[in-house]
Amino acid sequence: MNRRLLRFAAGTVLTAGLLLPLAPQSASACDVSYGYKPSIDLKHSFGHARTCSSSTSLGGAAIVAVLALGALAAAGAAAYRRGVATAGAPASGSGPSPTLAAYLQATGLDLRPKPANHPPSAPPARPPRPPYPGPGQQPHHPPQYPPGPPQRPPAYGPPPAYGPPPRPGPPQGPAPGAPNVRPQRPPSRPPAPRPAPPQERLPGDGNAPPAP
Amino acid sequence: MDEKRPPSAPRPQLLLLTAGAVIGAVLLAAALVVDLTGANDPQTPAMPTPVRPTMPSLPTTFPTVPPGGSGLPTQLPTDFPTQMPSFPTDLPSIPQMPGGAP
Amino acid sequence: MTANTAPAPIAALRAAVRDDPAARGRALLVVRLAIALYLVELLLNLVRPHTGQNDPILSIFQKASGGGSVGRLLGTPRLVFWTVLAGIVIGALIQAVVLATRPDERRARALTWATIAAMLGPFGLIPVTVVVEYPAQSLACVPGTAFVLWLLHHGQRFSRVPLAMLLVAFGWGALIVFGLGRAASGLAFGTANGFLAKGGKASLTSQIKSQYHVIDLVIVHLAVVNALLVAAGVVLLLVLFRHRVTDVVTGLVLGAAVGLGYNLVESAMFIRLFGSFSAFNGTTGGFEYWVRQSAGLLGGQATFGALLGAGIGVAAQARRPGERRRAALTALAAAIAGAIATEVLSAWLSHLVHDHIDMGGPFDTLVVSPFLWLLPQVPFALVAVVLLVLGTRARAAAARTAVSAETASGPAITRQEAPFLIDPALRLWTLTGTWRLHGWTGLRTLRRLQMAQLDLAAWRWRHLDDAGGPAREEGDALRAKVMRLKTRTGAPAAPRPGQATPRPGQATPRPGQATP
Repeated sequence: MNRRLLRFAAGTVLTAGLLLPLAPQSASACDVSYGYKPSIDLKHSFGHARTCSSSTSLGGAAIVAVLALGALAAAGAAAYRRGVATAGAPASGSGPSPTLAAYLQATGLDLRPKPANHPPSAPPARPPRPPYPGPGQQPHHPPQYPPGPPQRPPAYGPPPAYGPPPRPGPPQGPAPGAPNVRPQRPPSRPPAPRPAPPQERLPGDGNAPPAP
Repeated sequence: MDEKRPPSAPRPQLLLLTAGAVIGAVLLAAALVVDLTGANDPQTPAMPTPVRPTMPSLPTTFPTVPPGGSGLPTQLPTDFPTQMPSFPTDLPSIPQMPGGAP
Repeated sequence: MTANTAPAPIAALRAAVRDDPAARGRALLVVRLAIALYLVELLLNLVRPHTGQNDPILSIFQKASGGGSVGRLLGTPRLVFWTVLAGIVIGALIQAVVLATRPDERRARALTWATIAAMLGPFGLIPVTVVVEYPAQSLACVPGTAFVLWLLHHGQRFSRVPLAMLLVAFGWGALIVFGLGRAASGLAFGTANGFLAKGGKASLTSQIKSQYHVIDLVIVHLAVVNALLVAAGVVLLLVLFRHRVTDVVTGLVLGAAVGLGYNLVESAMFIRLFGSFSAFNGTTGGFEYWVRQSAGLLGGQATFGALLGAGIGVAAQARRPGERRRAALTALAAAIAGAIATEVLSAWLSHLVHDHIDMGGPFDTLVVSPFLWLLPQVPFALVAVVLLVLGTRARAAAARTAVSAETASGPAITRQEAPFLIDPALRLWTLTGTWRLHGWTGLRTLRRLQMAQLDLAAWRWRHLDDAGGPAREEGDALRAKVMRLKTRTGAPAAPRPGQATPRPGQATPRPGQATP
């Protein structure tokens, strides 16, 4: 009977020991996890056990947080600086860098702030998407890729063909003289049947493509 | 996933995973050694560890220790002098037990 | 699978998830295996030798003397246990119904999800209980975890897993890995106790020793079950969610997210429990927070999950079965071994420095204790980091290939834009420059365009050889989206969730575009 009681007591107490060490630690290194088994060391009394205090810990946590945010900011700044170096320094202190302007033009996005009363349609004089590969684009030598670090893409110069003639229907093979970094495309892909009339035509888009 | 996949797994990654498994195996072996040799188990406290299997329930059966085992010093009459010396080795901490010797 | 009437997030989620029968079948298989594991544990517990006369039939029914929160967390609460069983039975019934009646596609889909929810859902009650019981501690763990999740989301180069996928991974870790792992380990504890605990004749020492052995065994069991469940989660996600690129980075990110979810709930528990016994173990709640959610935020299951996920990602990417098996098994072995070794070796090291360090001092708190906890994990963290670096580098190379391949096939990505897409630093520069020029609207517009272009490039990477094949529609749709964004002038068109399902009728004819 007493044996059972003892066993039961030991059993439950050590059951809690799955998660909690249960006796005062005589020394170092506060427990962290399941495997930290208690040392039932009665040399040191219960009441004087020292703890890894919350205040110290939270101070450490705050330091780590600051360090982490600082590291993130530093990484972002370093990346930005790398980007600046790659793109080339801006020509003048003010105004957008020509590289950036050329890039934005290449994307064809119209980011100008619009007056309120303009309809959101594209103005007719808006440069269409740069046709691919535009005639006379050869001087705009993009940085070689895949290899190597991108060279400065400086000489975009005159934006590619405003209002170019509508492309001839047949699909593009490699343009004459264009740097052929393209993998083999099947040269003559037939136009896929377009099942429904295109829905997104902008009214101002003058380059109506040949109908399918 | 039956779509086409990009080219198959690069060798360095496989090697790294294998290295990770090897490191894991080594550390696991160390952990098993620690576990099985009881190096991680805290020293059992200053509770009496019987040399002979005689006092499993000493703390609770304090007043009624079976006569066959090494009993309490006070319970033994003084006419067992030859057996007395064995007690100190067995019961070093009995006097410290709460609710101690009568 | 268009959900025209469902609200936008649900529609987005549904669009992001693959619902075809093959995916469903795989998902069900994973779920069935998990439940089978649990049932095996249950069975073992039922047949364990009883150590006393009043041992209940299942050890988890035993009332722990601690009562309250300790008792509640050691064993599965009865209510949860019966809910779990009910869920399993319901799931099995639904499966039987499906087998018997062979419903149509839509119904089969709904029933499959219902089965998964019924079988796995109740396990989520356990972590929910933890979080609800310890709301302050759980909340305290949120900022750090959210930060790392944010890093995981934005740190992927070239092609990100959908945010929904990342969040579901987190949820899987928090709810299923923790819940099912706890439930199984609670049963295993009782079983091990039954088998290992010495009978009444043994000395106290040997009983204590056997209890330690039980704890050791449960640690091993917990490591194995956790690793298996993390792996199951990553596999499930890769199977069920649409995503562009499956490689080591994908798997690593998903695995890390799963581990973070698990860590969150476990940390909340440790903060509360260990913290309430500081007189005994020297630990305070703040200390547990410091070790688990600050210094060790990326450690623990986050590291092992990342490693495991990385291995599964590599396996998913590999073609030869030998490679796949090797990747998956080595990752699993590493994760399991690492988890066990961490628990045991850090405790042992702590034991070793017992008498040399002043417990509780700042040096101990800030340096020694976290260091000892993190030390066994360092090799695995290193492996994970190197895998991440290698994977990112591979992705950068792939980006170059894919973007240049895509410039050849349409104006979606022009040659002028290509270098800006390939180099993240350049891209960041364009974004900041645009923000300076055109404000937040311009930034958002440009970013959206770049994301769509990168998405297209990721598609191209996946279909480098067969861009004209069955995946062509997808490519068309992506290109159309890019062109749409290019021609848009700031006012957004009809919002559409970014998804990959081909939409007929959207191929915007581009002037002279070589139709792919």
